[in-house]
Amino acid sequence: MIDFSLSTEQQALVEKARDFTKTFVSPVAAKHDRSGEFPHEVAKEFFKAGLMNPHIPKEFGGAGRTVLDHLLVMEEISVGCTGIGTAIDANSLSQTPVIVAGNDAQKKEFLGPMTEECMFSAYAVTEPEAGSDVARVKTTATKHGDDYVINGVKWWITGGSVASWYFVLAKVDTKPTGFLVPADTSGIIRGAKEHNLGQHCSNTVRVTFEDVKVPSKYRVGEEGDGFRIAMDTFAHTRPGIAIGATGLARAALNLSLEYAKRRRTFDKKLISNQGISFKLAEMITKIDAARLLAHKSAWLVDNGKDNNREAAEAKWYASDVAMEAAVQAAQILGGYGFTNEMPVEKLIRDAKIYQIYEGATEIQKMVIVAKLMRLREV
Amino acid sequence: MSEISRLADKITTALKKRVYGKTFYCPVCHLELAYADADADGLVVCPLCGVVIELADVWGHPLPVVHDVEINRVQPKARMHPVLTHAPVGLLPFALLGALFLAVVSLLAHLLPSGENALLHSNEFQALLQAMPAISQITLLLLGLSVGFSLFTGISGYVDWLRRYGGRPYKVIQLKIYLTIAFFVVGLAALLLHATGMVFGADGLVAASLNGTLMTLVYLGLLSVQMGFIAVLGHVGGYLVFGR
Repeated sequence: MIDFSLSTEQQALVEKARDFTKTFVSPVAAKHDRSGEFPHEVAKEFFKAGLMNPHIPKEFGGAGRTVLDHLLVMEEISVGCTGIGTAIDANSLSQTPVIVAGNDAQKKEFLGPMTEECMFSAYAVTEPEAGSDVARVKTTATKHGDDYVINGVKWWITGGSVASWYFVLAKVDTKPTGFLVPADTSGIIRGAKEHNLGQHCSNTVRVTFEDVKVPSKYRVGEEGDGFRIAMDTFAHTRPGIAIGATGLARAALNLSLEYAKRRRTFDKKLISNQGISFKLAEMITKIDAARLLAHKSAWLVDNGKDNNREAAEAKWYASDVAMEAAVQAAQILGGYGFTNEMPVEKLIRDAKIYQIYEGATEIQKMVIVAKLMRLREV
Repeated sequence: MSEISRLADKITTALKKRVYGKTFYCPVCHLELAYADADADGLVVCPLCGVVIELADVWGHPLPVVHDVEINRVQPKARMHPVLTHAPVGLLPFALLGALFLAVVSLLAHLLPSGENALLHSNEFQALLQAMPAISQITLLLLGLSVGFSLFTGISGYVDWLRRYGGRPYKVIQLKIYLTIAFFVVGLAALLLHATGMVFGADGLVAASLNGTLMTLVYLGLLSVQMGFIAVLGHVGGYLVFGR
């Protein structure tokens, strides 16, 4: 049986997130886009509203929400601002390796405090020479007695300069291995904030590890489990990326629809022109499709099923829909879509990253093909 | 320094939010306008560039849709308000400087030991004391002119509002009206204190008493508040004319 309706609790969650967005996110989106300032105040409110760190299990003080519930929240937040959304929800990415592969002591030590106050953590995997090609990381972890000593450079680390701890992927000999590293450990150097094309208030920095000593108890899983853990993490988080892109596309549709209904050209409403109205029809159809893909991939992982192909499909498709919707919205608004006094040009800048981070579009297609190759028929 | 500017930005933002409520920017001239400036139909005419905007709020994002532009705006050849506004703005700082000078000299005259003090008995200081009544009168005159001109500035601004801006209740103009009234009232209070000799005596000096000190502090406080009002009025007025 297929049921697309939301439960009463889920509907309440959506409404709560929607109110939160309209009150705390949208009104400051342009300001943070211009200043690039990390949205600490919004994050505090997000935490107070009980919307932050949704995946932390109940036994460690969290809400223990499903991936699908998380998607419902993040779609609403992303309609307001995906830069703020990424900044205040980056914890989900770094917490997931602990949730899927950490032991109870690690969960208690690293996740527990995050349920008590507004704190941040960061997923330190990407390197200058290893982005989508995660297995290529050069950062090393050398065993010294009961400790590991980590050396290397991590780049474009979201939340890198506000994090209290990092999930770090490093190689022990040739084996990719995950570690939890408190940010105040000696030898960690946080770089300057990167000036990116979009999502300006998302804190993206370089983090350098110089002889950083980490006790063995902070190793996640066994030596060599790192790549698997990183991939398992993406299975949980890629639906979230897909829904962020879907939210952005919704913002593009909302703005262009309102504009087209009000703006008059050649003595008639803009929406009366099929050249415009068809764009809107295409946008809503693609948004619906992107959302369904994202929800299905979340539902699969929530039910313990393999969602690698579906998560890749959702992430690839939704990010393309976001990019296309943002560009079309600017086209509908004409010159007003090109000025930074209107909220549409920001959508184009913010959308681009969805086609890149957490595995570029091409990687998603490789994942899909890899799954297809194992099938006799579809 | 960045901390100070961040704090200043925070205070300004909080004050603006209180006075204007939610704001948006005119997409044409970039003037910041209040949501409350829109009429019941959601329409607002930008006071700076004259575009007619229909304001929509999409998920908390302001979406100003331009429908028209007022090209035949009233442009009187002799607009008095921009000219007159410089009189109170230009005169008040000198009145404040005069008042501060009188207070400092009074302080020196009362606090320096009278016995063998060289400064107190110098010819120059004695000459200064002789000039104090005149300085006090000049300060009073400057303050009086500033407050007096503010009345004409306010009236000319009101006429401008009715003619050029169609009497539309823009938050920014409401703010200017309220601040002008406040400037005038506070100025009158300061004038009253000065003119009745409650601050400076016939010798131009502050009386060497607790009451004299208190009155001087109140007087200087009133002038400082006026300076604050005039700074905001000047900034807001300039913003309204030249935009961002």
